[in-house]
Amino acid sequence: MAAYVIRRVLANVLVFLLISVGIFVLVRLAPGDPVRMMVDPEQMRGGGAAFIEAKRHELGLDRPIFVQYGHWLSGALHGDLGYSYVGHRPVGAVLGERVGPTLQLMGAALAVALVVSVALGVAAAVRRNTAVDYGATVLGLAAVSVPPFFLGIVGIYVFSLQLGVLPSAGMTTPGGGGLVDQLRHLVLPGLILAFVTAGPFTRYVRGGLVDELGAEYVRTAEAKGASPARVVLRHALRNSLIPLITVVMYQIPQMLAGAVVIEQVFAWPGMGQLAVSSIGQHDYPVIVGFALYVAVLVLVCNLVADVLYAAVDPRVSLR
Amino acid sequence: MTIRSGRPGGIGRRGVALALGGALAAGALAACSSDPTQGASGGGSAGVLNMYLYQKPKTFSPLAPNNGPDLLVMSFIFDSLYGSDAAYALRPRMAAAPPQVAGDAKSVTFTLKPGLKWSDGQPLTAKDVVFTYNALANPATGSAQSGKFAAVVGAKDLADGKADSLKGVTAPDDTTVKITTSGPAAGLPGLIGNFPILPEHVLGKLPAKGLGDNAFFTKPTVASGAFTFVQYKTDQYVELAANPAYRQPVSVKKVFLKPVTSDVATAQLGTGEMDLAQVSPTDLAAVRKLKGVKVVTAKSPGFNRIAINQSQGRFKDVRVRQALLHAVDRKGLVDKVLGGAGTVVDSSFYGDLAPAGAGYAYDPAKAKSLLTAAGWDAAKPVTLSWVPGQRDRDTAATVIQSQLKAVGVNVELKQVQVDELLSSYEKKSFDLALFGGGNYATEPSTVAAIDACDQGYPTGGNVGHFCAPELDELLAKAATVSDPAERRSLFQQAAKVENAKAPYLWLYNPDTIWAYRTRLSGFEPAGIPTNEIGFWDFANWKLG
Repeated sequence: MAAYVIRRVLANVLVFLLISVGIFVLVRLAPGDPVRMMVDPEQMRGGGAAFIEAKRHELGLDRPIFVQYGHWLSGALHGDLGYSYVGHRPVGAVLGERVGPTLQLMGAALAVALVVSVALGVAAAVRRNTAVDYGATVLGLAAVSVPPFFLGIVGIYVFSLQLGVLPSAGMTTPGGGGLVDQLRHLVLPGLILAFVTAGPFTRYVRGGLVDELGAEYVRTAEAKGASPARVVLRHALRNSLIPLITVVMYQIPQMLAGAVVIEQVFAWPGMGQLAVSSIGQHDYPVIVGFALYVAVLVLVCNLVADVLYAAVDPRVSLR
Repeated sequence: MTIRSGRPGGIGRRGVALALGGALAAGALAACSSDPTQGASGGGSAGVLNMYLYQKPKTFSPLAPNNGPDLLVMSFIFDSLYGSDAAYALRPRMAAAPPQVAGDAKSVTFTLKPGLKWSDGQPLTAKDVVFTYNALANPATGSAQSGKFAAVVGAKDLADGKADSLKGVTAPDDTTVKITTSGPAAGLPGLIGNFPILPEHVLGKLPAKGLGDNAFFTKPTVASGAFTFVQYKTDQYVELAANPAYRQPVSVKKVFLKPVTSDVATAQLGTGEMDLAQVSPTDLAAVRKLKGVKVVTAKSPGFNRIAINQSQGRFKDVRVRQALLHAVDRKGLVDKVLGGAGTVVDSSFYGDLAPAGAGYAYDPAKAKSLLTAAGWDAAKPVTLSWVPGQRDRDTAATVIQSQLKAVGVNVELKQVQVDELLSSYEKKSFDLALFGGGNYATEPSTVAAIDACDQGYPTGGNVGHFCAPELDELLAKAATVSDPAERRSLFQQAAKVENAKAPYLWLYNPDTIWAYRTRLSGFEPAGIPTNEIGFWDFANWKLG
């Protein structure tokens, strides 16, 4: 397995380089000049025009694109992803400060979603075509069809404005924030994201388990006198989780790239907000840094998914 | 990856679950403990004011291009010599008296109040003002404001790198700043008087080149305003604390400026997590229903308008532009789109400088006849571009489209991004462009930036490439006159010319609406949401 992992990592380095060229060029091909956008037309007379010219030169935007890429790559190889045009801070620091809040929100949401979806999926599969199954189906459908922003606004209205039990937005109370305060701020956005994520997960668990429960080894286990719980949880469920690993591992990079809508609604300082604002402001270094962060996550999660297959299912071997 | 046959085995099951669960829990816990700030709760606490910031700030530098949220934060931490009052007249702040403009309008003297101090206890003197103006006038610092000093003696040499300082700005003593200009520049105090003053004792020893990128401007360490900067928790809040060295005692102890969505801001006004917020007219009805919340309005100095691309032959005819003004029911827009919270404008000049009784009334029949007389080609479509996202403008665009269609102007709507719009200005490829903002009230001569013949974008802000030499002459003459009454008369004449020539399809001047919880007293509404330094009277703000 070690040789397999090393081979995959080396191949990923090449993919990573290709992605960096693609993103670097594409971002610059998109219409829009990051410096011109900084200046209101009515400020042009007040010195805006001179500012634009000087700033473009300072940022190297007046140089050929391959020179810009070479400059960026040599920096990137030394761990320097450049400076944000907007915040005047290193891109690494700008991205770094988003990782904590994103992990907090997404980690909590994913953990809750996994627990809920496995429990609900198992219940729905075992009690097929009963009220439990139909209930899980309806919830799953609701989770994928109700837009998160709507849930967010309803959540704020009910729990903050009417009941006054949860804060309406933010990651902490300004200036304060112990663990309890942070957890209270996490409840609404975390649960909404968990709900949205758990919907499809539940369907996968239910579908996988229904298939496995019809398999011959399950009948064998039952014939041996294993209890129903043991048959479901120790035999069938484990085999039904392989598709879920794929889904979760594809979901993780998406989640760590930020939940744009929920972050916006709840003023959560995560990756999603950073991505949207840097795209809106044509902050090239941050956009490229963010895209590469997502690319690395996807490559790593794909690799982890493959390794996990082998761990869960011994029939799978990695060569 | 290959599949090999065999029974499902038992190894690794717990390992996988533990690894996954452990990673998530560790991530969540690490993030939970990532915020080291501990302290009193902000919402509704005694002496702590929570205020809405309508966008995220970028930098706290007066050298940078103007950006509303940045200016709003700076208005708390940096004081200026002058500020605009509710009627947009210059009013002394750190200055001891109104600016003294010489008879020939070739020199201006500012006098500072005695005993001013920075938050670190250092004296704030005329030297700081001279340093600030030098930094602002020098493009090498990264200043986007150098053009405002163009009239000052030595400005060109400084900009060209032939001089290290601005020859025309001197400090004869600690409280006097003297500025000499190469020509008459009576409007100079209105252009530069409200700039935040920077600390010479902190920044003066740094090289001018790249000064604007200094870390001071992301975390200002000293303040001259009513509050000092504590921290900016990215995308969460800006924290400020009362400045004990401020020239007046301040009762509010702490301020948190929070960039949230307008919906959340409205909700937080209701929950008490927000004390003060600017609200949009569309949220007004909801805000009025909130208990313990008071709503006040102020007239804003800027206005929403539609630029008309007069580099196209069909818009060069003044009758076409006048027809567009007559074709749109602008009073109806104010009533329906703004809920009555605004005023129709018929001039770029503010308030009573605009000619009385010279409005373009809603008259579709007149619009049609003007268009016919001008030989308007109704078959050729006209594109109306705007940056979507502001509810009043989004609604106005569709109303305007149908009203212009009714008189034979075949309008097609086009939603664009900011840079797409700017690019279309530069290429002169747009037809009509809807936007708003600006402040032409404090210093009326700034109308030249959007109207003068030589200010076509990108040299200036005249995006429609309008040109009326007689208007330019009147504005140039106003610059040579030091007598306020005489200047005023010249601006009134200029406004009359502008009104007749209709460079823009003027729409309305939206009121700026503020909502605050009644525990806050002494708050006076500012018409400029960004405040542009110098309106607030923080000493009057009290929290119950």
